[in-house]
Amino acid sequence: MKYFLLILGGVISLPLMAQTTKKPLKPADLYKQPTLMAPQLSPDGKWVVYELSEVDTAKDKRVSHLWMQSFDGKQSIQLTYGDEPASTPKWTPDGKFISYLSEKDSKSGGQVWMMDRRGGEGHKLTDIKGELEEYEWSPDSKRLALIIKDPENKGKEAPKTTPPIKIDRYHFKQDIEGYLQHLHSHLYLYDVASKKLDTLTNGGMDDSSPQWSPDGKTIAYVSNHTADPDRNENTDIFTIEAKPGAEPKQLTIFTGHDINPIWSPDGKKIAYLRSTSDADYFIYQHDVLFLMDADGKNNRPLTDQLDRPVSNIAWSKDGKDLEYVVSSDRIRYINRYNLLTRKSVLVYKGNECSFSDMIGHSLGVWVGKMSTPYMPHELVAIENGKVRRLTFHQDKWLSEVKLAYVKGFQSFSSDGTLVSGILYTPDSVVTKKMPFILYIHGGPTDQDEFEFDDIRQTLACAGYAVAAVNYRGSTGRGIEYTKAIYADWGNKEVKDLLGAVDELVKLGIADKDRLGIGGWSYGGILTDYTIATDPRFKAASSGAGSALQLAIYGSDQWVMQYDNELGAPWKNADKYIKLSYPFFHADKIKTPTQFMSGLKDFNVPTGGGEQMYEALRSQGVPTQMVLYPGQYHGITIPSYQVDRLQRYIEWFDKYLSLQSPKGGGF
Amino acid sequence: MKRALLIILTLSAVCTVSAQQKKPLKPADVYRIPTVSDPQLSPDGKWVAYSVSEVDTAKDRRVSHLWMQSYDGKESIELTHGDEAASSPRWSPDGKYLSFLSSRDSKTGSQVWLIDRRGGEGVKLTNIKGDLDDYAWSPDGKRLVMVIGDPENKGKEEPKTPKPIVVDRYHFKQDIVGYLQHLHSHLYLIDVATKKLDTLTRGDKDESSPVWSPDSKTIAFVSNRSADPDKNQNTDIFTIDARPGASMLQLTTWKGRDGNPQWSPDGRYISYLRSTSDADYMMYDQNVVCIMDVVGQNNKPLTLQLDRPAGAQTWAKDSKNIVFIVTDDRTRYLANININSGKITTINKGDYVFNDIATNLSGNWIVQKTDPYTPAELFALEDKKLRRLTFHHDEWLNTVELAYAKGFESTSADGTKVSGIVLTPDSVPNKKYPLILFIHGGPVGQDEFSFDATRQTLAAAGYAVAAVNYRGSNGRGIDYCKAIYADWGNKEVKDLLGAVDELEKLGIANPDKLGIGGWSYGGILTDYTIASDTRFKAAASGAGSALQLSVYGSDQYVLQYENEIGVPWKNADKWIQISYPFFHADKIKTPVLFMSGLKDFNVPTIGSEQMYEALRTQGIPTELILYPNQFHGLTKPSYQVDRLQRYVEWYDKYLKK
Repeated sequence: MKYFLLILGGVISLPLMAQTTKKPLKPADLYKQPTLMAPQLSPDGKWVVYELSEVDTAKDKRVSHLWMQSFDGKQSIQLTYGDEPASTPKWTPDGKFISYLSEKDSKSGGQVWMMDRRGGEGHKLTDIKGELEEYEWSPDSKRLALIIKDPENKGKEAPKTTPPIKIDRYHFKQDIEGYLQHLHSHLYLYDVASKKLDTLTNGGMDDSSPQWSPDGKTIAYVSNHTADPDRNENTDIFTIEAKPGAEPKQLTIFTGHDINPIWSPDGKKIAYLRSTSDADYFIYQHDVLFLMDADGKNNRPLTDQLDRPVSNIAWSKDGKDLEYVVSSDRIRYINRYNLLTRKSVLVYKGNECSFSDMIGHSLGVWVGKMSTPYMPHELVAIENGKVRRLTFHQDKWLSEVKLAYVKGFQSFSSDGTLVSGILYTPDSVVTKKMPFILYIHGGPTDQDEFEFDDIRQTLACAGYAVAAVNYRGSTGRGIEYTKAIYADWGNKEVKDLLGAVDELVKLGIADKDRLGIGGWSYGGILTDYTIATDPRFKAASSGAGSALQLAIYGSDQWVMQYDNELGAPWKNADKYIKLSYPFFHADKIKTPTQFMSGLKDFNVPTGGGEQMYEALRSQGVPTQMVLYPGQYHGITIPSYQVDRLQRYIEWFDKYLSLQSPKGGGF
Repeated sequence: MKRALLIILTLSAVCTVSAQQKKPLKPADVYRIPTVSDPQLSPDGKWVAYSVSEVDTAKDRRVSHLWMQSYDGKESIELTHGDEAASSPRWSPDGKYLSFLSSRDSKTGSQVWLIDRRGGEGVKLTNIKGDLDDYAWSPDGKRLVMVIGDPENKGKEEPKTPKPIVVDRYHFKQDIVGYLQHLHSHLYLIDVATKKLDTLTRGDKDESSPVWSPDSKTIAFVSNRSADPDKNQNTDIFTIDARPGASMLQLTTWKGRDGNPQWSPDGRYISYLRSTSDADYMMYDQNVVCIMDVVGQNNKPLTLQLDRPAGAQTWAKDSKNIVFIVTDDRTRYLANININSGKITTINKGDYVFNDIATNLSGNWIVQKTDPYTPAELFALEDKKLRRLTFHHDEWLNTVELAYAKGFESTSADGTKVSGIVLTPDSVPNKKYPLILFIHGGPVGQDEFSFDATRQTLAAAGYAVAAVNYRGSNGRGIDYCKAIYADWGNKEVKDLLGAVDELEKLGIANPDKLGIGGWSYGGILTDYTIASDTRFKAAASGAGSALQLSVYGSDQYVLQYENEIGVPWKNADKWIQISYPFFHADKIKTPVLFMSGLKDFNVPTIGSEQMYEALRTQGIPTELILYPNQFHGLTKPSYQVDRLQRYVEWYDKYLKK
């Protein structure tokens, strides 16, 4: 399936700004929003370096640069400038340098750059052919572990005529990457002083997530060493001595995925994440925090009782605690597992906020990112259960806009299932029924949560009540809730979505005669399922979706899911046909629908939108299709992101406004 | 369906070349094959101007230039040179100029250029924004009528970020053109002396094929002016006075297609081509030559009784006779009809193919002809006899040894007689060959006695290669063509298998070494056939599809689907039935090489991807080759060569082991 909520930015700011000159959020405000990512704490704990991307409207792209924030909150410094982005900052363990990736002065993609903490501009360290995907400093700051993907054309200049693409793999398409051939990602060692590059791993599989042991002798990493890695997700954790010619040692043997290894500070243990399912492929699962000895023995789950997805794991500096972020019913909160007590305790949980990228600072102190419904991500410190904000990049533009009011709600579906949602309204008090948009998240294995949400905020600011609904298939409510839709797409999800709409109508918030629906990715797919089930919606916008699921077999990146979950189409045609009911029963659809797609999307290819557009167009149901040139599954060009928001509002206004062509009196 | 036989080239050369030093044709020889096209007779009948395109291997593309051949055969001159192509030569009716189209020195696409016949290089006449599709000189030599497509971005420079494409049409995809929005083609007039441009037609319809009346006062053209031209093929013929603001007169009312109007030299009649069917859309159709008077009265079909596609109808200078080309069972021959008596006579017919006819008031006739051993060259037609004028292919043909081509017939399981052509490395096959059944596209098209670079190359690699005109092909009458209506992959497969049986019986094909392949509908039929019969040991399916449901709305044929198959939500069973190679992919045992151009909107890449994946997941040997930036027909020379090489390698791997 398809997937990912597209979140453009994210952070918290207190919604108590002067009401004076504020205007409701509009699509073009997107241009003003910075995005904060990849925080890294300095070894001495005094600084956090991070990446901040901002829109260059002239070039119509986001450019990221490095910033540094003092932990005491007093100083904020921009470190890099200019047209060329800088990203992925890291501190050398000795604290002498900040390294980062940049394509500046490079003909062969991103290289590692070094910035001396004593002063001076950055300078290029590496000159690598192939795509530098990850890098990690050895504890002695002398070497780098690199993940490099084999270069195109074997590192030679591209020929004038692009060679024909020869496909012979089972998994042969992947969004953004394109057609998959035989370029693989492997582990390399780079010596800073001699600039010598050594190959550590090779072969027909991919390696990722390198982590140095604290003594600098061993690297843990993730790889899939099964006979055909295209046919399963059975990644395992390996270690290899940090010297050429060393043999990898396999630490895990679970047939699901094992990922994200991190060494304990004393080097004796490795914490990692493991999937709940051991199937070759299973999308309805979540990650469990595991711990094992550094030789792979004594592995055990630490969060299996939690029944919630765990992410962002980190060791405390003293090695006594393992911090992790829990996704649970519309929020993401922070827990820590104490190795002595063998128990998890809460670090911080807010009613309406979400955390990520947490780093252990000192005893009881953590640094990371936080977002609320009113603030895209900013850096915060959590000090003994209290949040202290460190950065304020969002304040300027937020001080100029009026945001919608956000609150949670719950509903019961027709089969009795309790479903959680979030409601956005232009004002905190709703005095009359409003035109309504149900905007559905992708995934499906994801959740809508209390964080800053550009799309729903913008729609609400255009005069709509807007709902986010965590239908079955979503995460955060336990594995059974997620698994409920296995091989049964468009059934229980639709019940949950309609139940939420019923509830909002009952509450007097949504006007039952002015209901809109929309979404992106699996949210677009569910839009199609829902309008083919219930004609009550007067307008729909289905982005990056599909309905004839037969048509994406072999034409998208999900063949492994289809073969595992639905079976081969020639043996299970009935099931595919059933799951394609919006196409095979397109004559039931009466809702004017706008379809959208990025033209290079290999996740849910454009055919998904084209076919439903044509089905409606042929029947004379009002429809249009908007195609974004050069875009993948997620729209990344800023003017297209703004265009999409504007088209949402225009389409919904056209069919949901009372009389006036614009936005119905709000 | 799909469409377009991909013939790379065509022409005839006397094959009396010495056999020494000749090597069998190989894929890379494609680089050496020029293409001769678009003959235009000078007003005095003494010269023929035409285009020759040749491969620039450094730039990896074909570049066309203008040539001129004296009618007496004595002189041959290349007129244009260089990197920038020149095409569409036209003589000004006073004989003073030879005009042509070129993009040189232009930021906005092709422009009309003039070469003064007294001497000197070409000079640019027009400076048009938009896409110049077609043009014609007024008989008085003073003006040109042009067909110009609305420019992208209203003629402004392309913005840095391309605008999102907003689709709201029913017919919204078309190969090469791309996503269809609301750009239309209209008629314009330009005065050659003043260079003043006047708009003749406008609006949300398209106009094409303008032809001047002999008195230079009126222009006949073709347009579909039904309520929604996306929903039918009802083009009609119109006339309009050649002055701005004139209103148009509709001459034809046939609900099928009317096209290709031609004024008689005396100005009294217009001949044109009409479809046989009057349905909104009918793929299985053939053109009929018709005439009418110039106000659209007294129209009558002239060639219905032939029950063959007729085309390229050309008036003789007496305004009483029309010469045209008939597509008939592996040949295309020249015929004449007298419009008074209605009598049709054959002018010239043989195991070869005519592609084009040119004449004018000089009374000289030029035709373009190809045979199995010669790509298209130009000939003078003198009293039913042919005199060869051009020899562009001799040089490369002198160095290669070609396969021998001959016709054969077979009888299918249901008794249907089917015509084919078989190519063998030697003229006297004294052994069984591994066989490649290479299937033409269309399906409405035919394999014929013309030069066929793909099959010649395969035969030269040591194979017997068969071309089979399965039901759905044309040249055998409308019923033969219509037989596959809404029943794809059934009778065609019977006919293909019957031909293979026959070649086995004749001792030509080795039953244990059978290969199959094709492009477009030939790729689709490859999929159908290997899902019906496991006897083939190797297949190459190019630009094909099998899960036909997947191409509804994602290719250019929605009008055909809804007319022929019905909408999927009301006729799912039929759609599933004609998708049997996908729904029964477990019956396929043949190793298959799939191929596609990545910008193909005719049979999109998904058609190949899905079948590749179906075989790949079952462990049947398969590969998928994708050609970047190519449409339905591969045009990049190195890709054409690459495709031939891969064919040979794939078949060799499974048929020669």
